[in-house]
Amino acid sequence: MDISLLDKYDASLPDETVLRVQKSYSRRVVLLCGDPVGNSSSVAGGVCARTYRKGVYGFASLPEYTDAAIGTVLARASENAAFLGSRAGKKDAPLPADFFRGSLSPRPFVPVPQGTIMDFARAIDGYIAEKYPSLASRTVACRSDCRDKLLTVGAGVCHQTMPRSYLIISLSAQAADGSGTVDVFEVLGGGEGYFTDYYTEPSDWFGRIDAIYEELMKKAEGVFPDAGMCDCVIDSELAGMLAHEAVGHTTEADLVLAGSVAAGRLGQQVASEKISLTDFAYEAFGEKAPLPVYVDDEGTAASDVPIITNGILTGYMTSRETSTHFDGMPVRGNARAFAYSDEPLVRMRNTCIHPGTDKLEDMIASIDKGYYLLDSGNGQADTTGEFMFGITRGYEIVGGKLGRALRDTTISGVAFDMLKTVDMVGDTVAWSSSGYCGKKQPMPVSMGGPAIKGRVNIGGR
Amino acid sequence: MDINELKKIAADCLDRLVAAGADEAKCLVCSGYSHELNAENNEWSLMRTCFREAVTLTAHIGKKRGTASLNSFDPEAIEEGVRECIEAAGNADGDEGNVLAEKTENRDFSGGAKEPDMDRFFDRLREYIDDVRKGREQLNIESLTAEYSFSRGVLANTKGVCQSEENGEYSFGIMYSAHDGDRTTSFNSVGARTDTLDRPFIEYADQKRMLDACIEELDARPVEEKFVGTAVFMPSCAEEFIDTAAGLFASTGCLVDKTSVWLEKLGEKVASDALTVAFDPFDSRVVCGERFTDDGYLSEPFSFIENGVLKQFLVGLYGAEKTGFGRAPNSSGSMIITPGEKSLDEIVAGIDKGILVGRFSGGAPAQNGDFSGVAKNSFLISGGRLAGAVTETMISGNIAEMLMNITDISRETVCDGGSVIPYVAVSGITVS
Repeated sequence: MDISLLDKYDASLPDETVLRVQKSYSRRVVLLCGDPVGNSSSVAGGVCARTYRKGVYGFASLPEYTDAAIGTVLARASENAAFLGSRAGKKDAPLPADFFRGSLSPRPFVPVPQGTIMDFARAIDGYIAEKYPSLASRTVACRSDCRDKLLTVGAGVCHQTMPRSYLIISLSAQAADGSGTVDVFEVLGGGEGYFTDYYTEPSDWFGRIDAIYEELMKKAEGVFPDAGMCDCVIDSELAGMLAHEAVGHTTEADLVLAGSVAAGRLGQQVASEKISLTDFAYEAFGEKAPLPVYVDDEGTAASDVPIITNGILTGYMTSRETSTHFDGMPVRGNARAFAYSDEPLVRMRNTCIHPGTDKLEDMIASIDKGYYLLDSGNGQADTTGEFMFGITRGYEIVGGKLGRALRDTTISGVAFDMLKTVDMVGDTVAWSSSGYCGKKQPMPVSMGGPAIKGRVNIGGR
Repeated sequence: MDINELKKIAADCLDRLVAAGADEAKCLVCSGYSHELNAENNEWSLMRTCFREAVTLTAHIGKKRGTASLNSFDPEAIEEGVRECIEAAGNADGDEGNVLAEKTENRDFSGGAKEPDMDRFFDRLREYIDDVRKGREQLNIESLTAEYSFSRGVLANTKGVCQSEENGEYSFGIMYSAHDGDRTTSFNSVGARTDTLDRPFIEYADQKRMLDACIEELDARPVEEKFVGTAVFMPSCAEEFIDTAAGLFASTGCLVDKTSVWLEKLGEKVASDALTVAFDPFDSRVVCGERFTDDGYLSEPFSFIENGVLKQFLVGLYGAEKTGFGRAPNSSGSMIITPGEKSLDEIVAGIDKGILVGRFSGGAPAQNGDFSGVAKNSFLISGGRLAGAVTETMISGNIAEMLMNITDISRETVCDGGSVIPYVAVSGITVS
């Protein structure tokens, strides 16, 4: 995207105005039992402006990049702020500013041909179809998306590209007890980058597919857990979901202001002292974060938000406006917008529980009767911290050893209560970054953590 | 841009696709705008105006299909979309399900509120915020999102189909919770669609009851013991479960791969006699209902389940071609459940042990319908009476069995402008 689109507006923007140009690309291929039920590409772009006046925001967007369009959205955003400001009865209040100043050198957008992605999906599907003909169903999905954006708040034009690419497979088999089908769903690799950064040789993934099939066969013979409170080792994917859904959302400043369980608890013990949790901006544990954010959609320079430090609640994620409600709390680049037509909301970026020192095998060995839970189909959490995660892959633990596989079930609990029960934290972090967080708008986020051991309520049949 | 101009763009898109190598083609061309008002924590926060353009192109080369979408009417952008679409189709494998709708009757539809009255809309919303909190001081509107939206669209294909519509509507929705000192409730949400500003918004759906219930939820407690009893699902929750059943057992994907437990059930009982579900976008209570399908057929109402018997699978043209089942006469978006004869109070009075479920927060159900999750915004039923709000309470069961175990459907229905749904009582639900 050409930075000159916005350069000439940088010096003359009205006060408290953000101007953004964005183009979003996506490609998607889905094969259901070999049939190409999804084979699409999309591009959507435009310009938006947001203005803050009398305590409210005015926003406008148009699906064009012309100077005329920019003039229109600037005028309309101002009119909208005036319309609402004159009726809202709020006062002007200065917003804190820590704008990104500098230059980013994003990788240019690289359009990978649809045919390349289709050929790759077809090869993966062909392998599964030939090797495992008895499957009840199989789905192979490839997707690649990129958001390319320019933004100015009058402090220089920022340019970021945010590409992601993934291969996802879902396999189904008949359950051994004749109760229908069971399935396993898994994201194979991928992350920030273009499709061919991760997927060039289909055979690189055959070993993983074989392992998923073995998991599916165990699940087909699986059992339902005994319902109730139990000791569990929650592996990285679930720990990440716990960090994001059950803790992260309750510490987003807009939800804190709405009365979430984290409200008024800064400085309090909310988890075991073994737990530290951070929303990382662009680096984590000395490496590039899975989905790095350098500047947010208010122009704020992104930095890490330490949410829990050794069990103590230490921070909230804020936008410029919400930070004014928490005396002295810095803005750290959490105001993010999905499409060109979306306004920034308080969102997470790369949210992760810090690693500890325990080995996974020791954690499992420490449980006499319980469960080892690996994957989740979905998760939801309340602003009260009450969470529910669907469990799609797990095992019994009996006498410190893994037992039978589990059928689909659910775990629930209250995040801060559950985190206080954590007495072991694994030494290896794993991330997942393929999902979208939903909060008015979708948003690519990553989440991660080590395996943790604690107590949760598990559903039976 | 008016409908005739959109039709010209659609025709141009089809010509370009054929010239580029498509044997058959379809396109959807839309434009519109919206004005959105937002409030957070009972105070106004944002007004947003978005102008929209959208083009979706589909090309068939033989039985191979490709799709490309863009949000611009610029000829160069459309040409690039055509190139993408043809490339995608050219690289796909053929699929016998890829056919286009034949021309029947082409219509131009128009409805709803064609122009926004933003001053009056704002006044209605301000009144609404006051009404929501009147007598409910502990209640916090975490967020209010309200919108006037106007759209025009043309769907055309190379077989002569050319349908169009234009309509405008208002919609509003709130997310809310109650707070009193350290006590806080789960959040809940409610909203509605309308094409008139004649009525106060508080009168839509069953908001007063839901908002009053939220205050009672401040005293929520966990259930003391696990039991198997009757769950009464509030309308929005009942709609969600039946939607889930439709997706798991009656939609294209599970019928094509034959994982549906209803695969052999067309014309047979899949639910209690008490359940009749129709999809009727022409119902007078539905605002701006669908007038033509994604394939380009004129929409018609149909029965999905009638007195417990499965009458229709929810497949479009592709699904019909793939499975041999008849095409559903609309896209299944306006659910109407036939009410029963008892009132909600009478239904509750007949339940010894059970739960009134306001919202369900659960994992994606297994393909066979097994589900478990947390009952939110819910109340215990004991001895024929509501016995207080519950928290940290799980419910589990099987959706296919649940439909067979429906014991009562209320005579009260709730209409939010998109569906008309009663309360639905189901026996055999595990509560823990």
